[in-house]
Amino acid sequence: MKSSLRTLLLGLSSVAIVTVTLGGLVVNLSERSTAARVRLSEQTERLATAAGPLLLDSLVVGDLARAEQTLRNLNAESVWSRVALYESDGRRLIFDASPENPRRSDAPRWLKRLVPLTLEQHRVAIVAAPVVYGVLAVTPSVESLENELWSEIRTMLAVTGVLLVTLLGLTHVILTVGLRPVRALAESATRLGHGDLTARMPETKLSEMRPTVRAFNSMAASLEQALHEARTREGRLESLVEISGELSRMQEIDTLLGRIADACGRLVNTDWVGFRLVDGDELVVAGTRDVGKDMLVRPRLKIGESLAGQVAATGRPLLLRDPANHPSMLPDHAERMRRLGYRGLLTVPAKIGDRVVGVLSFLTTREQGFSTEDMAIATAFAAQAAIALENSRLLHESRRAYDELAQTQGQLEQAQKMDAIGRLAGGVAHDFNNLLTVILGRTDILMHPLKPEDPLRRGIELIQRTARRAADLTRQLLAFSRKQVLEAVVLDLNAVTTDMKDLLGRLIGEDIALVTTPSPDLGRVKADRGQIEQVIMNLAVNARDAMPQGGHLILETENVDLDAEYVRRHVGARPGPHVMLAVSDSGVGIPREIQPHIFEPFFTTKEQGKGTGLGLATVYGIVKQSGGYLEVDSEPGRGTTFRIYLPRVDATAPAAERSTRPAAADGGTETILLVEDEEGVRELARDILRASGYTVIEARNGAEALLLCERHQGPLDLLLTDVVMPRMSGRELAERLAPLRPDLSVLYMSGYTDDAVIRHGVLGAGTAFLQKPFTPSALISRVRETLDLAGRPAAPVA
Amino acid sequence: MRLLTKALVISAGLLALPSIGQAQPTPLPFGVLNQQSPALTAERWNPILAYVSTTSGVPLQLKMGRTVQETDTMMGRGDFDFVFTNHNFQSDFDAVPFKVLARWAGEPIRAVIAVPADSPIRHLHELDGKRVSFPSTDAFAAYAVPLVALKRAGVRVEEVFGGNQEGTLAQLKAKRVEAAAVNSRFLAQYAERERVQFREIYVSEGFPDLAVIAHPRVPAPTVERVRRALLGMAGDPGAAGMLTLAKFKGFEPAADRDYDGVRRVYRLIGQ
Repeated sequence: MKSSLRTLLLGLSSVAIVTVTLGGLVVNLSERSTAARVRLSEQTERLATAAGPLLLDSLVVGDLARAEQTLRNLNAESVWSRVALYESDGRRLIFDASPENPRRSDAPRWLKRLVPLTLEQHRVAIVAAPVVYGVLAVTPSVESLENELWSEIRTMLAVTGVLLVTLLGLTHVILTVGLRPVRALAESATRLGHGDLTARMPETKLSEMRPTVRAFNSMAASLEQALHEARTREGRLESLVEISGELSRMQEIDTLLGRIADACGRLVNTDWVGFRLVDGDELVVAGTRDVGKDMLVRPRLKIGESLAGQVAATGRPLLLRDPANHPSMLPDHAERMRRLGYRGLLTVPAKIGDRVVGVLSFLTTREQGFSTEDMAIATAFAAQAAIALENSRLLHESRRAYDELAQTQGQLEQAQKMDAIGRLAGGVAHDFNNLLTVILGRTDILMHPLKPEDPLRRGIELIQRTARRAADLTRQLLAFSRKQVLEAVVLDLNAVTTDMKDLLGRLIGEDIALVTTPSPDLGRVKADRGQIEQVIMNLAVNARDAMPQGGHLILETENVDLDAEYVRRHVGARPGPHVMLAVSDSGVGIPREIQPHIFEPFFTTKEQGKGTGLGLATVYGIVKQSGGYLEVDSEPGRGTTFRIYLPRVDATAPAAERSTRPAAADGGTETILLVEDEEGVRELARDILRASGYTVIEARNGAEALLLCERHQGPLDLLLTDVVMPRMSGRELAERLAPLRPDLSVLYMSGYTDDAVIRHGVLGAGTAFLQKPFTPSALISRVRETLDLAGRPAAPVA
Repeated sequence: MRLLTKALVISAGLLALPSIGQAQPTPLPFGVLNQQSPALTAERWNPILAYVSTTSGVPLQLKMGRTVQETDTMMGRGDFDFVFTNHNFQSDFDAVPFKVLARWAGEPIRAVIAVPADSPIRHLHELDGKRVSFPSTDAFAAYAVPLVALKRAGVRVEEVFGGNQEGTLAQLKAKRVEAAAVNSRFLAQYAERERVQFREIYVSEGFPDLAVIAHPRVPAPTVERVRRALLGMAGDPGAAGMLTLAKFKGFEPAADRDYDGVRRVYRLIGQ
């Protein structure tokens, strides 16, 4: 059987009310009946007395009918069961006005048995003294009394009923209202138990329950807060792990900075995130994350200054409430923070080991600012961010190194390729030069006695022209292979380009505008002027061919310093001060895929017969042989620029850079030691010199020359030697002969040379050079010139 | 117990009172004009009649009709041997030669037209068209006399009847009418009893109060005994208590000619 507080209270209340009411009714019934009887008698007496004057009016005038009607009206409620008027003696009836329908008793029989009622008659004399007009006799109605009692009992029962119902209702209401918080407590506890931490008890007006409600709600709030904090912490840690994993993957620096800023926002509930990286003694802004606020950010801060700078200097995190009022806050930052309503600042260092690589700063408008937990998570994240940044930096450097290495490797391969080609070309040219020297020399000798009309002359001239063309090609090959002999002098490139303007104008034609932009105070270079002119000529020709519809050819010069970084990225370049000569055109440009091949000999994009493919190769060789560096910058459709960097020298260019050689005599009588390993060339030179009056001692190599020199007792004026010879070069030979013959002049002859001194034109006094292939007249003239410069004027030839 | 005691006392009192049913000479009917309710009339006149009966040896019994008209009818029909009235001076009763024995002692009665003390009405002519209450058309001082005065003043009023003088002044007190006509004696009694102040805008000349008259059939000796008893009442110490209780001075001698003025007024209003 179920029982409840409600049932118990209702049952007890009902029993108590019924018992008290019925008990009271039984106890008081007799007393109440007596009181009712007395009350009815008094009422009857008062009524009968009051009826006297009314009856007197009627009786004085003898109107009995009116008197009877008056009584019936008075007894309309049948309060009296009998009403009669007697004469003054009280016995003779005047009339009987008793009710025709006496009142009926509504009382139950048990009441009549329980309370037997009897009522006495009342008599009132109707008098206008001294005359008695009659006696009124009235008897109260027992039924009225019974009805009154019964009515009273019913009223009591009704009141009891009402009380009972009211009590039951009140009990129900009280229990309903009173138990509502208890039910709410049970429901809230159940929800809480099922994990609904938002469950709260509603406010109650019952003061007894308020402490319970407050205690429960406080407990639930604490539980919710604790769980929320735990979840937040868990979420933050998960985010930290996730973000750390994400950051640990190699990423580009820009992407990484953005992710770091975003991750900060996710990990620390903040309105603004700023990330600065250490750059020397400064902090440089690397990224910000702003939530709808325009925070002032200085791009650079000194380490040690401002709050972020102090954190970077100390390596310790900083947690501030109300940062706008901190004395170390920069004034403009403080003003902005105050205006934007920032209430908390958190700045943590991003460190790798003890090295601070950056600073993370957080701002919030939350009243409570940041917590120590925020600081812990931010510090942990900053460490991850620092590692990620370091990884990213290493990745970046590795990629750059790899790229540079790949580029350098390509350049190196290209250089090696060019060098190999150069060696090949040089070797070929050397042999060709010897052959061409013989051909040109012998044909020249053969031509000499022939008359102009001699039919052989035409054939010999054809041989000579062909040999000269071959000699030109050989010279270009030598230039490319950097084996030609240069006469390097101090040059002003501005003067060179200026002097060439007319020549270049004619070369490129009227459709192309020539523009020169010489740099003032341009430095000097040391180079072979003729070769430099050759370079400019070749580049101008290429530019012209790239601008068939006309355009601009621009020559500009400038002092530049090639730094280590440039040199590192450009194989073959050397650091230091240089003079740049740039030749630019607005032509069709060079496709990127063929740019690596343009300096290769015989590589040409021109139609067959229009180009030898040696123009740019020659440029390349001359620049390289001059100690310079050459780069090309070209883009199809936007023109091409060749930049030539020649080492700048601390010297002044001579007023006239072309040496003026004294006019040489045609021959002489001096003794010449001729050393040439190539027999044809040696014999040719011997024949020409002897034909010019000279005494020639010939040797096939250096050793033989030394032996002949030791044996020869007479004067020896000139050593005419090939440069490149097996076992002993011409220069070595000259050096070894110098102690033996201090006055011996030296004239080198060669198609090319590996000798750096000769190649660079550093020839000593009395030392001269003759380029192969040479003509007989060139040999005679050069020999004479060398002897003359050494102070041996020619004696008359016999 | 208290009720029982009361019942015994009343029964004893009833036994002590003279009974109208005792075997004595048949009392002569004494009519009284309806100036008050029958009960009040009986309370006033029963002691007087008991005194006169005892003193004169002529038993008298109070009789009256339910209304003035009924009382007048009874008078005209000869139901009374003696009557206290002045309606017999109306022309309707000229045929019956009633004899005047005495009149109610005191100042002559005067007709008064009164308004409330705070009423703006101060003159008769201001009542023209207003509502004025009277006891009934049968009243002499309260209707006949004021009506003559209003006619003479050329004022026409709306007549409202209160049944008796009590009702007339009650209507004025309740301000259902602008003025009321009563006799001067009743006005003074009512104002004192009800503590109300009135302003009298008309007061008539004095008229002798109602008279006790005898029907011509009553023998002269009987009339004379009664007349003496009435007139001797004021000087009889044995009646002093009764007179004081009833605020009554007794009766004075009167003759028929004393009421010529009354007859004149009645004639002026056609009665």
